[in-house]
Amino acid sequence: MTGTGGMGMELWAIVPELILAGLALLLLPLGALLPPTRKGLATWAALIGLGAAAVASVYMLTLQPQAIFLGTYAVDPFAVYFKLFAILATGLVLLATHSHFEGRPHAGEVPAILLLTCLGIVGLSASQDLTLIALFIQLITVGSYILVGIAKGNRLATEAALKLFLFSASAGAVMIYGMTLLFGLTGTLRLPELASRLPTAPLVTVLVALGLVIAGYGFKITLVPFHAWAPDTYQGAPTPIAGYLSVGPKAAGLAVLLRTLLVSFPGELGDWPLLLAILAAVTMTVGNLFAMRQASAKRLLAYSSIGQAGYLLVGVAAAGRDPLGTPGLLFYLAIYLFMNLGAFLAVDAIERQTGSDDIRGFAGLGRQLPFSAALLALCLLSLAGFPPLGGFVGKTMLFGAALGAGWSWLAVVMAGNVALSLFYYVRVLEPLYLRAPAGNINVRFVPEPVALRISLFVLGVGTLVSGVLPQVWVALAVHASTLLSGGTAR
Amino acid sequence: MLVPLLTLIIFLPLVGALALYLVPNRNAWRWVAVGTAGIVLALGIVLAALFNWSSGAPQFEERVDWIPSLGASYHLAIDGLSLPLLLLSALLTLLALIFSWNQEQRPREFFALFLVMETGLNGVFSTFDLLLFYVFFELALVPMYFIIGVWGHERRVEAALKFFIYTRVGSLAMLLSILALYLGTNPRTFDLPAIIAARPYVGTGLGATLVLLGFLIGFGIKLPVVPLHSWLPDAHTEAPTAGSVVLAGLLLKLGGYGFLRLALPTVPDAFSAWAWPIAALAVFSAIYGAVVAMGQRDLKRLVAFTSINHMGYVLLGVAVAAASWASPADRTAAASGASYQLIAHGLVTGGLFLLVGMLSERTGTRDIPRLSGIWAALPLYGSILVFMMFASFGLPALAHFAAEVQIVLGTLGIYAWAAVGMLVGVLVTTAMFLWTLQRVLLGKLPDEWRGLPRLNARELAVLLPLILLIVLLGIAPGPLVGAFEGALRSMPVGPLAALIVGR
Repeated sequence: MTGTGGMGMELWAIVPELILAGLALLLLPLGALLPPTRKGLATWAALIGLGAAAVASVYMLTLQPQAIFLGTYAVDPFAVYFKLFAILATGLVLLATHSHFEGRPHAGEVPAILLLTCLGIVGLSASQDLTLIALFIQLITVGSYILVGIAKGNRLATEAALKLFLFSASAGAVMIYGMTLLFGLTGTLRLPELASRLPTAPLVTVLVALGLVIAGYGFKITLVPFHAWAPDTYQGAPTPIAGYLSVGPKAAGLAVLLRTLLVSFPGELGDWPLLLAILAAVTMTVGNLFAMRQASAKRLLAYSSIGQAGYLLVGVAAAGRDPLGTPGLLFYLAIYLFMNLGAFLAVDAIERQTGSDDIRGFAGLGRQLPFSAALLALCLLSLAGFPPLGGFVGKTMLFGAALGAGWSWLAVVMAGNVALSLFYYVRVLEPLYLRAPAGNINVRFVPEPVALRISLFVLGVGTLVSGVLPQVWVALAVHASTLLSGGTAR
Repeated sequence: MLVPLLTLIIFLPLVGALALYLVPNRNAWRWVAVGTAGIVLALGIVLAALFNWSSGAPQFEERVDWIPSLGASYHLAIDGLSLPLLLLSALLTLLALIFSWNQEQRPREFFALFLVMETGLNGVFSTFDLLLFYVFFELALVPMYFIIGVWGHERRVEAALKFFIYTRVGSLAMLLSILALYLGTNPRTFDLPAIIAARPYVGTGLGATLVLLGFLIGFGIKLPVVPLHSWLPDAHTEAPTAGSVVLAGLLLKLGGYGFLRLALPTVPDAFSAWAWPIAALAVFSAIYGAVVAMGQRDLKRLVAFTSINHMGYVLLGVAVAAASWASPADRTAAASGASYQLIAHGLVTGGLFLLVGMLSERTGTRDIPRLSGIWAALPLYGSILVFMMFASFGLPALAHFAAEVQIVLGTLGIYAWAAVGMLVGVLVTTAMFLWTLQRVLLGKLPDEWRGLPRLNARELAVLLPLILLIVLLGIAPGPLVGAFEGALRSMPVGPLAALIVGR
């Protein structure tokens, strides 16, 4: 099914990507040239471009699933779902970076780099070819690296960027070695063609290659044991960027992992579902255990997001076994975008006022910064899985997927982790609402910037509505997952 | 149904909570809160008047698709088992809010949390969809964390955390059991009648046992039953009075109601197989609660431990009702007694916590050795306290007696040892309460307690409905028992239906 529809058709099918790439290349020089007081224009231009890309993506939901560019690039509802995901996440982060970087160096370039990273996420979740996958992973890494280190004067930020760079370089090298093995075994780089040739290859080599490739993907997903960079990087990075890293690249990593496994390793080749189930259990347990003792809100959220990655991996593991697996993953990812980004941006809003993300300094903020504090509380309760918030519905679907796949132990481990996670989410809630403000209670806080408020409001409403009336999103997630295999299988 | 009465009763409190934030006038907040709770109770009474008490079948059914992709619907209905609990919830919330009329510290948030909690509680008691049940179950839990943690006493933060974590673990265990039922039914659905009709977990296999275990942990923590009880004394001791009233009067009921509504009909065979260990645990829990209560110095903590004692009888009733070899009459009596005990305990213990709160507001202490001769200082208060404590240990012609007699009679033919154990528990409770009365009310009145302010009209207005209902339920148990038995016998959702009719 390669090359259907001609080149014109194929360009038509990548309109969102073209918009993102074109705008990013335009804004990169222009953003730097803008006068200091007009740097905000770059953000608004990027937002308009994202809006256009979103419209084009929604239109693509109705397209016939197909592979384009010689079968290397998928146009299916699964990919479109991730396009919309990346666009939404980037847009909401832009609303926060707009004021976060105001008056700081390179404020004009941030939107362009965010667009490039967004393009990487969009491309990675649609790639059907190992070369393209490696390419887009690099694009995401370079974008993230620049965004983390853009505050050059800050020692922590520089350290964070360096850690990210070193870890990603080694993980990337390992992954490419795995891809080389796969190519050597089969003579092809395309995922659908791997599917027909891998079952006849020697199993041990296939498993080694799979493990190496998972190491590369796992770096993006913060899969344990490839997670060690995340807490340091998130802590040192500008807070909205940390939030973006915890959501966007992670989603792209999960998308490419799911696509690779479902398409290229059919029939549970090498028992990958069980492998993933074990990795999921380990990842959530490690993330939640380490989150317990963090004093920095950003580090705490970093480990929390490792724990959340563990829950998401349950969806990947169960994808081929239970009808709740892939929809559960896709739904939970969307909710995760709302609640995790919401938590990071709320911490950003608080940090801008108090000058620190130390949770002991949050005492009494429930009254002094009611909007950000309430948003943070809402997002944390959703991360902890309380109804009627979206996190609850997502967790329920993933619990169901684990039980339905026949892994009661995984469901129990996950339930234990969800209970465990409440300990550290409460450690943030407690100072916000249960403790009186420490020190000078007459400090006057300025209200959050309007753009940041809008972003937080959207994220909060998303968290709440997706829990109270989830049907539309659940149906969309089901639509986006049922067509994945239909669109990629021949 | 022209007016969706159940929906109104569930969501009106939530609307009231939001309305609190639209009213800027501080003095108007209590009117909004009490007014809302009052309207909800009035609607509940209308509901009870329209309810067909002679039929056990679910009534006032409302059903709308909620998450059709997951087989979850907005399915509401009430029957003879849930309606009394719904009314109890409306009544106790109203009384707790009236009691908090002069709430000084952050009244708006305080009232709003109680109203949100009422939405959760009313929802739990009127839904027949398991996912919705879970949503409401947790919605009733989160506000209590803040009520204990913000408005509680000295060690409130630790107590709130303990309460939160314990009940969360229980909820998650219950969620896994609910999901197992959901996955086991074809097509997958969260609809309770459909699950009961499909009977996905017949027999006593591993699956059914695990589902039962999940329910035992979930509802056992809520109830609570020893050894899952240790959150309760701390939560009660630290919670503000109104919080304790709702916690003991309503939140604990979720455990008993969950056993009767969910666990009994969905895993009948496994429950039957494990009936005697559960009964033994229940009896142990009851006696343990009574004995430990006797050792308490803190009056509030003492009342808290009597809750463990009383809830032990509920679990005993449930265990007997699960024993499939017993006669239907015995099992119905036990289940009806357990349900009756839920209502009686809500009224009596709610009243006791109010009384303890009133006393400690006046004296500033709940330390039993420091209290003595209170009857002389506060004659009317003393008399009401005597009444409540007598009611609590099961004095005939009062509410608990009617409940406990049914449980004992049901148990006697099946587990004679358990009935004996239960009587021992009642005996210890009686002795404990008499001793407490003697220490607190009688004796010499110290000078510092002279001239304590008498009960005011508002406090009497809060206590009076409880006293009347306790007497009424004691002398005329017929109608309520009839309602419970009707619900228990009716198909397809009565707790015993799967057992009695299915055989």
